[in-house]
Amino acid sequence: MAEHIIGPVAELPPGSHRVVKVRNLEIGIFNVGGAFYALPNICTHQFGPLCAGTVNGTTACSAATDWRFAWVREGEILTCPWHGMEFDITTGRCLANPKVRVRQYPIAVEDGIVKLTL
Amino acid sequence: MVAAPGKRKTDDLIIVDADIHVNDTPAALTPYMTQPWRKSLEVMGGGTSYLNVPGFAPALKLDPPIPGGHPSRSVHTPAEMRQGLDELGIDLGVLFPDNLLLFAVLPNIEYATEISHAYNRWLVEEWLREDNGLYGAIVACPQNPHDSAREIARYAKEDKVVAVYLPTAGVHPLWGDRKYDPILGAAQAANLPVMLHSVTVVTPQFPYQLDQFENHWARQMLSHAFAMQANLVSLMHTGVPARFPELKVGFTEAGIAWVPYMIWRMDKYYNEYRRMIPFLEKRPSEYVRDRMWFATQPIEEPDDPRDLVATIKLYDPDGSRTLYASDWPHHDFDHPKGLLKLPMSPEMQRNIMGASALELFGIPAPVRK
Amino acid sequence: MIGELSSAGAGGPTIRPARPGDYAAARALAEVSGFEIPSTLAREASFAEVIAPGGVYIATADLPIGLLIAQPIAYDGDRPYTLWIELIIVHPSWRRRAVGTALYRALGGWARQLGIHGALTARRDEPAADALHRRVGFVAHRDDLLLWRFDE
Repeated sequence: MAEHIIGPVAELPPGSHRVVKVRNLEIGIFNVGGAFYALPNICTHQFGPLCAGTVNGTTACSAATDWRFAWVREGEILTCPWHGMEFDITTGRCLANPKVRVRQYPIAVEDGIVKLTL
Repeated sequence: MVAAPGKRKTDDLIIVDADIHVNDTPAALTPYMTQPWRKSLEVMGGGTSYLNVPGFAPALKLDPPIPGGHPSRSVHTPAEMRQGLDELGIDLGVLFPDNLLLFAVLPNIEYATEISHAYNRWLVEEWLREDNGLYGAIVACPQNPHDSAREIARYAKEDKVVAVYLPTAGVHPLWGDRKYDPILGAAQAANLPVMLHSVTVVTPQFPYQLDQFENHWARQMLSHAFAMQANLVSLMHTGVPARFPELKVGFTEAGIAWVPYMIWRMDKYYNEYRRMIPFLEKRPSEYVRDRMWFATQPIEEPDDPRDLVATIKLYDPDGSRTLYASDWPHHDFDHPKGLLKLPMSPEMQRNIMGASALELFGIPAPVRK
Repeated sequence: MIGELSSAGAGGPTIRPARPGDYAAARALAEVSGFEIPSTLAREASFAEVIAPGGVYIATADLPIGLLIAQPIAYDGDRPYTLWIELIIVHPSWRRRAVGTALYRALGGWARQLGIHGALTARRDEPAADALHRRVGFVAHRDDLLLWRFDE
């Protein structure tokens, strides 16, 4: 495992994301409300470019929402551009099948620089 | 408890039949009917044939009689039913109607409501009073869900009422629509499973356009199976398994091979469309495995019986979600011997032939004399 | 599969899962093969972590002469679900002797047993690597990837 410099934190403001190549593996870097996450750019479903998808929220409907549709978790859900499979950026879990999750690589900010460990 | 001594090798095996049919003629129900509808049944009288009761259903016979005739049976008394089941080697059975398989297409709400009351009273009074191994499913009335919910609560404590039959042929909208929530809620509260049962019917409702087929063989291919698939999807798409977390659902008379196809298909599109059905907290297949049961008749008959066992295992590895059903006395009934000879483990066989049904219906295991 | 290769030629290599003690030899092998040292071989302290999921195989003929590092990029519960082939190297004097194929066969056997969905790697402009990957069962995927599905 080694550290890889992604760039200055100012270039990745909250709500932004970007795909970088670390050696030969593409990794999506996400800033969700100031916290950084790093996921592989390969969907669990048909191996599509997961991190090239959109980031937004998702729907919810349960006893907690009084069985009304609600829009929740804005900025935390990544949707694969191929088939729309949703992933929770903060945990890597697939919403449609939570047993399945993509790997999360350690990522942190040090002295204003975003560093990924891989 | 009744057994069928000397009739089969597997004497320790309890055989429960999840789908047998009584002959619910207008004449039989007349004494149990309220006015003015009793007067309607009196006009109809007896002498009706299977699934062709004027007023109960559109009297639409699209086919000429099969040249040379075709076997047709009906069962009019518990003694006749018991004798039929004994000959088949079946210990216990759950009764469903014949003519009221078309119940959902009745357009007259008041009439339908009273017919449902009359059938349920008749069933309990005439069929479920003796310790004869016969249990029953009371009919739900999709035309009048609030009344039906009260009816279910009324029978909740009847020991031999073990299920609520959901008329599925021609039901509109399909089961799962929120208008039926009172029925599903009452069944859940009564701890009674709901059993979907369809039949071939040519109506403007799902699966419609069956009239374009030239003969009944073709309509039979699609009617029951499509009805089960459509209603399973309908239950799922309005979140019934999440909204009624204790409700158990049974599917009858469509065989079982459609089940893996549908659960795979539902899961595949759940990946993509989860946002449309966010009340589901897990994959549709997981809800199916948790709380849905499938009755075997008309069991598929592939050339290699191992293919059938493999197909069951695709959705039910140990047979605990699969229910033997004969459909006695109907023309396409399945003898239990056909299933007993399938190459499966003793545990899977025990489950499918009876243990699954005892669990689903909450029937105590019978003690043989 | 592994035994097949071992018995095929006298003195042929043995394929086995990597062990923590293989670190120095694996690193030396990467160096002599002219590869950029991957991050998985950067530090001895993290090598045990790299091999723990199970997708790292060594070919030895007395000394290690081949190395395959596959790392999970997705999980199904606790099990790997998708693998990333980080590197496959064979000692220069052992090339063209099916060592790479044998390493991949060992990985494939393990992956199928676990029900792993697929393995991916980056496409490279090297005829030998390309031929090896096609022989094993990788196919072109997206712009610059190779995909090996274990369920096919």
